[in-house]
Amino acid sequence: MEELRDKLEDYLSGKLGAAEKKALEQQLASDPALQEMLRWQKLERDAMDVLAEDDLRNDLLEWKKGLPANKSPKIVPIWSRYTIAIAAAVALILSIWWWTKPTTDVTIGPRTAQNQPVVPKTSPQASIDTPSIKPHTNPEKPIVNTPKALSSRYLALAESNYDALRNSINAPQVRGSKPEKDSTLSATQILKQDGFAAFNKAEYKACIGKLSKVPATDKGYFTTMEYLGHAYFRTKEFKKAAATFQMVYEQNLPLSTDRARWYYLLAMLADGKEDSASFKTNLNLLANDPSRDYSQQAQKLLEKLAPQR
Amino acid sequence: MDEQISSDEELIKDLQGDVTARKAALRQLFTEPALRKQVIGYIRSHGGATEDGEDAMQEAILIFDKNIRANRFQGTSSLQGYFFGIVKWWWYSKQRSRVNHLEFQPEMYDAHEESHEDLLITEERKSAIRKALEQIGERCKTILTLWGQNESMEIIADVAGLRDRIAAKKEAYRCRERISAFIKSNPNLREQAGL
Repeated sequence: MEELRDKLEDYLSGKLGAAEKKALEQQLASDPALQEMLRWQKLERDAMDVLAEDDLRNDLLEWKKGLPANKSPKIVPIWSRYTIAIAAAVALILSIWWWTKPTTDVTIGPRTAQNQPVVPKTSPQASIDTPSIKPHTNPEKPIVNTPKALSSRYLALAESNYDALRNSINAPQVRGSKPEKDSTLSATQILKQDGFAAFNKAEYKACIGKLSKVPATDKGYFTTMEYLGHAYFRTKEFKKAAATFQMVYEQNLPLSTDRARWYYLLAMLADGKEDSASFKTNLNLLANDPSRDYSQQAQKLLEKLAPQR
Repeated sequence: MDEQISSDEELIKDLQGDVTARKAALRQLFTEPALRKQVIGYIRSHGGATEDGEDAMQEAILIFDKNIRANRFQGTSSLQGYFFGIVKWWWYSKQRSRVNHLEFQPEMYDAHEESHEDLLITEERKSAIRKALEQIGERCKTILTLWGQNESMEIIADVAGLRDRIAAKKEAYRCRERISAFIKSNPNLREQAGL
């Protein structure tokens, strides 16, 4: 039964070879029960498509917010972007110093003159994120990825990792409370109720306003802080997001430690702190221990970061 | 290797890859200023407004993503040509429904463009599906969303807190069966879903 189900699944996703497909279609033609089974499996796959489409629609709305309004960009063929990206990746080898230079220590604060990386003086056109960039043709001046270009790639990488699970993050309702205001709730519970409701309505600034006031003595403080961290991340306050997630993972709570650690990493990456010792240590910790939650995601992130450095 | 082929291959690989790679590639496409300008320009020069162009960009991305994931792209044209084919087809279909199947200017649509009709789910069927999805719970929805996006069962197991990929696959099928069971038990929805 399971084998047949998998076969129908492959048939629906166009993964069957020509001979297998023909054989299955012959079988289908003379087997009404199999036809019925296929119809329901098709419905289930359509349901998955509806979910995937809804998820992507949410992303498109989110991405649209970041687009410049009424700007007339210069025309550069989109498909050359990938070619440029490949060229830039090759050029990255030349900027290996960026990765091998001495690491800065864990700081979730503004870069100071001491920990600011040495920025090579290259043309801003070297950035792969600039739409109007032209391939650099002077062999004496190879394309070098500036720290700015790398930062924006790291930001994109952090955000795309974050977006992958964005829609699965929903704030809870305060236990025992109703959607409307409940007079039996304490002031802290009201803060949490309002903060979580704002989070679920994507009103992140309002959420921050509420959750940041929840006192540390509250029973569910660190869970609340995770949502505060997400609200900071979603308003692009990455430093604060990193500091908040760090505070949570440092508690070593059984269920949330690795999750908070993972989001701490994404916030650090988005904030351009990919070079810090804390980032490297925590990324390796997750990536090298398959028993940890988010280990696979960390491994993939590590792989993706390797060629960029 | 030809540069165009190489970059197309790279893009297809990302679009058929895990959620992270796929979303990064889609985001790059969707936010690419030059592509947006081309799409909006095309729609505007074929009787539409800027807003129609924005809609075309969005709907074409959704169809493009689905087609690439379903291995529908045969490589007989460049990806750019394929994407534009979808934009033209979408605009043609929209116009056709607006003018109620009346005469359509041939220059508005290249008859050689592939139809994407068969992959689209009718609004009625979607509505039945959505009602069923309301019944399966957030956890099941997350599992099926990830599966629908070609995420591996290992990752799904990780996210859903399941033991391994086998447990994740079992759970994912259980979630799917709940959709079928709900629709089967409701004759109206069954009819709406065309079953």
